Amino acid sequence: MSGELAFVSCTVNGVAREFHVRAEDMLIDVLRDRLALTGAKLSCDLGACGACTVLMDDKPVSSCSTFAWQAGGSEIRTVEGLAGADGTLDPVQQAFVDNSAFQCGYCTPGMIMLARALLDHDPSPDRDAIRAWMGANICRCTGYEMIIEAVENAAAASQEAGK
Amino acid sequence: MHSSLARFFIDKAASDFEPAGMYTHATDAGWISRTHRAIAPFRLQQPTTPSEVVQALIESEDSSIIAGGIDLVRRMRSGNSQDTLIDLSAVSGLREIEDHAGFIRIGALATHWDVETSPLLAARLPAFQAAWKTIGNVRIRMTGTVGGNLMAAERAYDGPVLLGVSGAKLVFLTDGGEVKIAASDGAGSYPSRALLTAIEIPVMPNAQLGFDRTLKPVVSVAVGLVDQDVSVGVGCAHISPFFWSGKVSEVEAALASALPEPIDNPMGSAAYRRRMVTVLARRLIRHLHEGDAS
Repeated sequence: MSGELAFVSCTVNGVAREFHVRAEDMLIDVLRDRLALTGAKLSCDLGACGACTVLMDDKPVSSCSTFAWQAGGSEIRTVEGLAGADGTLDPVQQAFVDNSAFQCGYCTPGMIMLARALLDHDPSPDRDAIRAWMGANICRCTGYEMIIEAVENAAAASQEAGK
Repeated sequence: MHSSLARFFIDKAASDFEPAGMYTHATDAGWISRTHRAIAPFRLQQPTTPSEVVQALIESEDSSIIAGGIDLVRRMRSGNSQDTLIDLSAVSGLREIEDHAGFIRIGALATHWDVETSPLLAARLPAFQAAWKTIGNVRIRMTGTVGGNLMAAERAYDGPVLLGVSGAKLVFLTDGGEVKIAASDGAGSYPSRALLTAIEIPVMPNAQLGFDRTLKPVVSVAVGLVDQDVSVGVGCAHISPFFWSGKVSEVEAALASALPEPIDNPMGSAAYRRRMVTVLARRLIRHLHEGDAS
């Protein structure tokens, strides 16, 4: 049978967007192919590794396993939308840079978005909470220690800035 | 940069994988995207009431419900095509977690995260909530639903085992009205062309729940205890979960005689799985009796 077109209206990094998508189109394809937002990476294609993580209404989702029409009416945030208009990095991004929390970098946008969701949810998580939350995503370079330290430092920096 | 090398990999990918479900494409962004395993086209329906969902299920021979989509998308990627997907996101009233006389009612569309963060469950069914918290990772827990975990009917999923030993009832809406099924009756007893609307979990003051998933995906065991009455649920070890209920004193003999032959594969032999079921059940019961459910 033939697929159908669905109309999707959402905001992506604060900008209102409207699309016609095929029912079987995935969110990551709309982001990467139509909006040229190539931060979210396709890797396992099963929703397991988290390299494609974006935030949908502040919730981390696997954009490789989310149909584009499921984003209708929602606010999507990708790694491209984190830095300020003047180029100031988000505290999570800055902490990843400061801690060298990446090697090949393929998992990094997903890790950063997952960490952003954690700090939005809990601004001062302890190390166990960070480990549990960040365990959702996989780094094949196994640079986990630096990633966890980066999230700890990002939380501390955000707390400091908020004082 | 569409170099000849990149072209080589595109051609190689195409020749290696097509027509087995892969496709390649260039993008407007000028990048060569990593490619998906293709999902076959399907028709999308978005009913707004439970009865419309049931009608849609009846009208389409080859349809599937999508809630969170965690399980379904993976299956569709594996080549399990569907003529129609019935999306539940516009159906309201199926996500609440409510206190009723003698039981808690969890809407089938409640996410694992809803269960994990429910103050009501923390107060009334804390052991159940603690056990449910161990399902999946945060991305899955925030999107996946309690109903989806059950309807996926995967032998390694924890939901059916936990609900089975908790004495839960599954509430389905069918064309003929509401039907309640004991969770321990298993997926084989679910009515066809029906919508799971809620799960009802009894609240008993002296009920205890223990769960050990440390040997997944070889075996998982849940134990529900009310004084000397025990329910044992076994996940992963068979095609579908196994349940046994009786007296605590009978557990080991009953598991030795009543447990069906477990799956035997390189991940875990049948003999090992059989032995671990008894070890874990005995250990959980001892911990519960000693007041340590962990």
